[in-house]
Amino acid sequence: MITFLIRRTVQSVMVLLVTSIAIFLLLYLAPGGPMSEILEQRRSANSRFPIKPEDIERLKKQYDLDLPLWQSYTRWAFGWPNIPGRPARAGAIRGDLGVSWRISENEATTAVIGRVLPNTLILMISSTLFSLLIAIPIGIYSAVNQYSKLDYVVTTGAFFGTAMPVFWLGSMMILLFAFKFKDWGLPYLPSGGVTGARDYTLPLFGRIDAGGNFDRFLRLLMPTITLSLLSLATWSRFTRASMLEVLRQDYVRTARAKGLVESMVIFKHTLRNALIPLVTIVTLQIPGLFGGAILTETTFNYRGMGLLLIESLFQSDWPVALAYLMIQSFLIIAANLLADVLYTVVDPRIRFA
Amino acid sequence: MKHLSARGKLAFPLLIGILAACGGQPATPPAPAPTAVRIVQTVLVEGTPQTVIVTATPAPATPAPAAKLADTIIIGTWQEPRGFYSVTNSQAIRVEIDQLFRPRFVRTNNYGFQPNPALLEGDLADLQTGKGAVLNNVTVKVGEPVFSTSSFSVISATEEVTTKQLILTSKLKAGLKWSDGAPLTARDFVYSWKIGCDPESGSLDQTNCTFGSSAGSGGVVASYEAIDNTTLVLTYTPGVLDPTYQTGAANLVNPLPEHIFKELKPADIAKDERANGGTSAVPLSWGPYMMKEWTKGDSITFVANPNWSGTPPKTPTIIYKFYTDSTALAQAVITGEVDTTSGTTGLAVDQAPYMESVSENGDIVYTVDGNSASFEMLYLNYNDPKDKSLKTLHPLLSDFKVRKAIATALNRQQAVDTIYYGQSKILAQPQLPQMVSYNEALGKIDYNVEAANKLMEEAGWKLGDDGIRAKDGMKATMTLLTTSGNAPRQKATQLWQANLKDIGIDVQLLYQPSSVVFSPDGLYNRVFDAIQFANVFSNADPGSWWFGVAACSQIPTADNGFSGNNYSNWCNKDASDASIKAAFLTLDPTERKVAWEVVVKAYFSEGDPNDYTTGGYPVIPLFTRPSYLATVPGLKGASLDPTEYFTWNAAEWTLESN
Repeated sequence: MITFLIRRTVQSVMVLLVTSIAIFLLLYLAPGGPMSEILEQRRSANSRFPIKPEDIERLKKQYDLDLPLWQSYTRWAFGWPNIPGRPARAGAIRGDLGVSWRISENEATTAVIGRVLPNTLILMISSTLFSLLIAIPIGIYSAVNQYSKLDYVVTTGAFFGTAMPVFWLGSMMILLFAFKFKDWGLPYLPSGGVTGARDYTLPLFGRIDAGGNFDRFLRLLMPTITLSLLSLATWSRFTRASMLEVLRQDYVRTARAKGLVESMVIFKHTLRNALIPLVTIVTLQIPGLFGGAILTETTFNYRGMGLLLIESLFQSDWPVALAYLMIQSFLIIAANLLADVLYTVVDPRIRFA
Repeated sequence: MKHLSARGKLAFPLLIGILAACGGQPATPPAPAPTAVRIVQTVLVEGTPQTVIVTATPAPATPAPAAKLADTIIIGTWQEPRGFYSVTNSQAIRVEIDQLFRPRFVRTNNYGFQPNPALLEGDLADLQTGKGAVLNNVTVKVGEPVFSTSSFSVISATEEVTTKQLILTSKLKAGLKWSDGAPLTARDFVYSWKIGCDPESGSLDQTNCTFGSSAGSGGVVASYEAIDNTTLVLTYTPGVLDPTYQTGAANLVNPLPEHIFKELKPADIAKDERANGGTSAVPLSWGPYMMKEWTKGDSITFVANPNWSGTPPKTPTIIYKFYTDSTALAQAVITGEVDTTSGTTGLAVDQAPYMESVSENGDIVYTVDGNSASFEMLYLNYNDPKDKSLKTLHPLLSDFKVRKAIATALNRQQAVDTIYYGQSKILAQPQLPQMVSYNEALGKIDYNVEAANKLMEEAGWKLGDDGIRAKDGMKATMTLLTTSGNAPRQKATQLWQANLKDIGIDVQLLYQPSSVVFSPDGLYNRVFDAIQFANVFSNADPGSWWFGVAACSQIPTADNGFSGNNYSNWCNKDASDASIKAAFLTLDPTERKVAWEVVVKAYFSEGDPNDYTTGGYPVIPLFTRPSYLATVPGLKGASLDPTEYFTWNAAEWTLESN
């Protein structure tokens, strides 16, 4: 087990290194970047004095864009080499992921990410827990009562949930719960955002403090439900299939033959084994918790990590995009490692040499 | 990444479409306004009975109670500024927000200039009266900086010359203060200018710095001085004539509070939250509002500035609230979460039909300004971009008649009607009607497919069986490059493709990110047959617009390092000389107008048939790009201005409270 962990850790570090080089190269070789604004100024034909090439070089130096690509990378990744006349860098390896170029000028990328990360974690954890709490019981019920009326209803619902485009579902929810409920005089939900800017009054609930916990809760409802529906559908189907497979195993038949009560058969002997594949899926979901959901966040104007990635790419804020992608890479690698370890906990038959 | 998609924009038309179909809740009918009525009565006028008609507005039965005003107005925008340090940031949204707490000293409403009476003494600078502006004769010795009329830049004089030197003086209002109570003086302007000209400051543009102060300095300004606490003097480098000199000396830079930054190095100011804004500190103000709090990613709160010497704002608090895109912003204004959308980064044409339908219910007030200062245009390359040296004639576009045929074949009105719902305006010339250089009598472009086909025939391009013309065995084909992700622009290019098919030209459309289009791989090195993008004016003076279009020296080539804005290769000597004169050599309004007339006439002319570079139609004007604003019905005072940020009068805005 120890040998396995050491081997996997070394492999993970190598993967992370290669990933960082690939991501860095892709971003820095792509067109655009912080110089686009100054080039836009140069494009403006009304400017009587076009900006000189020397001025463009001065600004490139500010972003280390005048250095050879390998040097830009080593300064970003390892803080080496230290160049006189330029700010010293600790490097990503020591947690210095640089400062934002465009989204929040000169602010540490970790601070930019740290600001939206709680929003994303709240949204993703809420939707994951909500999905699991509903998906697993549904999956169990559907498997135990295969081809029952409820099984058909749940199966149909699952297909509906899987097939539903998030932006469409989200828009329909806004239409119904934000616009129509308000028109009908019912307690409505705010159309989006993490918090409101102004207090508002809801029928039955009275005055809601903008920025208060209840305001946040109300704004979280629609994105959580929208996001949950997709994973709820997938996970309930997954649990059902896994349960059905285990229910056909000999040891389940043996357990029943021994006269065990059905609840013991289902929950102790079947569910535990049926959950192994689900554990893998849910564990691999961890990086997704940090990554956010771009479409849901956009539809509901929810400032989270997914939206941050899109904005950083649209605005050529490479340090922010790099920081996001590196954190994601790290989490994916760590989650894979964790999944391997968790197998051994859930299934005693699995042991690593 | 499975959730990645087109940012949910597809959702909004659907959402609002259904909303419109549902009809929504009918708005409460407004109280009937008093109506003018005609009353016919017979009266005695100087002893003779006469019948007169008296038109009167009867007094309302009961006086309407004064509306209660809200203490907060919320403005929504889809773009959050990345900072507020004016030296390193030229974002439009930054400048729009600035008008709340750091207003301009000279405003640019409706294509003109107006001094801000709360900040400046006196009127605009005027060379005729000598108030605030003088033009002196000076002798420049060898080695001293001077404006070169051959390179159109400031150089070190190689021989002694006598030329003109423009000097501007601005007088600040006495007693101006920063929001921390410290006096705002002329020295804060000079300090800001010096910081911006420091090579380490990270400033975006060092055009207005002294010659040689840094490698990229434009050398346009010789000196910028504070004579006393309220007097600023801006001295241009000899030979530099600024056509927008009326804005005076105070408009050169935004002042910086020297009293809080004087201990910092120029490179460190950009990182200081007192300059850039942040969660722990915010920039100081000199306007009616001051920044109170910036919750990054969410909102910025402004409150009334107690040290503002002008009229206090009518609404004590203004909040800028940030949204993910124009779709979310439209939802927010419909549901009343915000009171108005931003004038610069607010609504787009995508939302236009739906916002119209919502406004019909009375839920919002929706305004479209088709007279915006921005217009789309199509550059045609006289040279074949396949030859990197750009010395080979373009097989199709080097012909004047073909270019004129293309201009005539584009159904721009159809584009306006179908893409902008009739809310844009087509242009007769490649400039706006509001420009001082505009004279429609000099020529205009009209849509006429028959005439366009005739021109193609005259140019020797014969129609083939496939509907595409050919000449000397070569097909009439061209590419049209434009930016991806801009739906209206892409729709327009698709329409041009169909229009040009009608005259036998096969157009291939190329959509690239703006970072590619505006790069040496696109516009700058002229790697295109035709290219569409937009130009924006900030006042009625065209500046060097015509210089960029017409000056032979501005043709980007490999020999000059692809510098200059004459992307088509139009080189008509008369037009070139005239464009130079109007841009750089005179400030006399009459002389400049005459010069522009020469350029515009040349634009429509065939030139020398033996020299393909002299023929006109290098750039085809298309249509203006409208601006959009949506407000809640109770908001008074907010409106769009084509050349000024709509927040310029935010201190006057009021919002009726529910």
